[in-house]
Amino acid sequence: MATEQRWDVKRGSKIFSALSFGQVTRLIAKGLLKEDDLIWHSGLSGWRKAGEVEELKPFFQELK
Amino acid sequence: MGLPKEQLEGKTLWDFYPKDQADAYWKDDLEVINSGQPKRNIIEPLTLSDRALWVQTDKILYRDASGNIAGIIGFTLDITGRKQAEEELKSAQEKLIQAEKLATVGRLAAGVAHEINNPLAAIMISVQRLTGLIKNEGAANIDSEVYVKTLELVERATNNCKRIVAGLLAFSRPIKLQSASTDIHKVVEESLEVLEDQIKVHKVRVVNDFAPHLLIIKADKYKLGEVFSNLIVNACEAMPEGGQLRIATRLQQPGTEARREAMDEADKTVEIKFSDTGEGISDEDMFKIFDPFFSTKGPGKSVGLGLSVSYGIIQQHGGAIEVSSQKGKGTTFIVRLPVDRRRTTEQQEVTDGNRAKMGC
Repeated sequence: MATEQRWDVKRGSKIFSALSFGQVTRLIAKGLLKEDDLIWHSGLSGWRKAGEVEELKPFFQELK
Repeated sequence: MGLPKEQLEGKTLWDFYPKDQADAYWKDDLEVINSGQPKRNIIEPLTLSDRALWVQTDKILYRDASGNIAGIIGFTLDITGRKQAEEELKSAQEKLIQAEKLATVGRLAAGVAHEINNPLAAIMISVQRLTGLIKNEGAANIDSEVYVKTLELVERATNNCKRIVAGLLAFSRPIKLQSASTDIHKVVEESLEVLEDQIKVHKVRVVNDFAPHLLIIKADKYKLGEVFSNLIVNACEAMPEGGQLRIATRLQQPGTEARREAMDEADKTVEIKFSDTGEGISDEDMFKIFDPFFSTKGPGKSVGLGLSVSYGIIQQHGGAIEVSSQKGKGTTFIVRLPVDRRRTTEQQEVTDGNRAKMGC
């Protein structure tokens, strides 16, 4: 059975980890996760700005 | 420049710009001639018209068919609109930051007022009741037990205020660390000892899953103890019906996190993981738990400074704190602290540990 990809968010020296994609998009919609927050999921070689991660771009666009 | 072609033809830079500015443009031209490389500049030139103007200039060398330098071709693009949009965005961001700062100050003030109000009310009621008794019955006729009970209540309430103020000070002031070689396992064990009664009351079973070797780092053991105690108390309170708290330690080797953190051998960290089987927290609350005065424990039960103070302590140690949670399944906090680079070999760790055990 395929496990859902886990997403981690980094803000300063705080890391909120093991989030699902659904949780991440919900946090974006509520304005809690910002474009400048760093994000990582298995497959990425390091932390990326959330606003630059392809899968999340449409969700940030919706807020504009 | 906003001028018609007829007014530009046959003129030089010095006909339009002050000497300093024209000299700077000419210097750019010479740089392009000498290097043969194109040059881009973004400038706000002085213009003859009143409107603000920002331009992007690209200069490239122009050679004739024989390869000789024939001149410089310059492209000038009016980017005033883009610059104005950038300025507006910057100004909007600054306003947003200011608004967020004000909101934080507002939350702080509201939190302090709320938390201090309760003990202050208790002190006032106690003093009023005792004063009333003295006035009505006379000081000599009041049982000493009444004095003692009232004063004890005042003392407890005052201590509560003191604790809140101490928390605030710890939050607002940079903490001065008293760093020394610290045995992480010992700090965890001491925190557990201090909280033994609280752990028992909550019917929490603690499982220590410590690394087989000693973990010694340069740290402030008292401040780390404060962090560990906060995490243990939070875990206990998250399990009102009892449960299990697993405390695992390890020397973090480059692995999955290495891909995430781009960690190399020199960046080894000590990891202390606290996993409970409690209620868990929602993702929304999880994003706020390190905010000052945020608490999921309900009014009057917590000041909501424990985790924000803990975060400050970890940050000062150059470490990081990680949280993950699943509603109904539990919460895990991981504290990561950098290993003192002078003590990276296991041999040194063991030597230090033995010395510590011998009480040297």
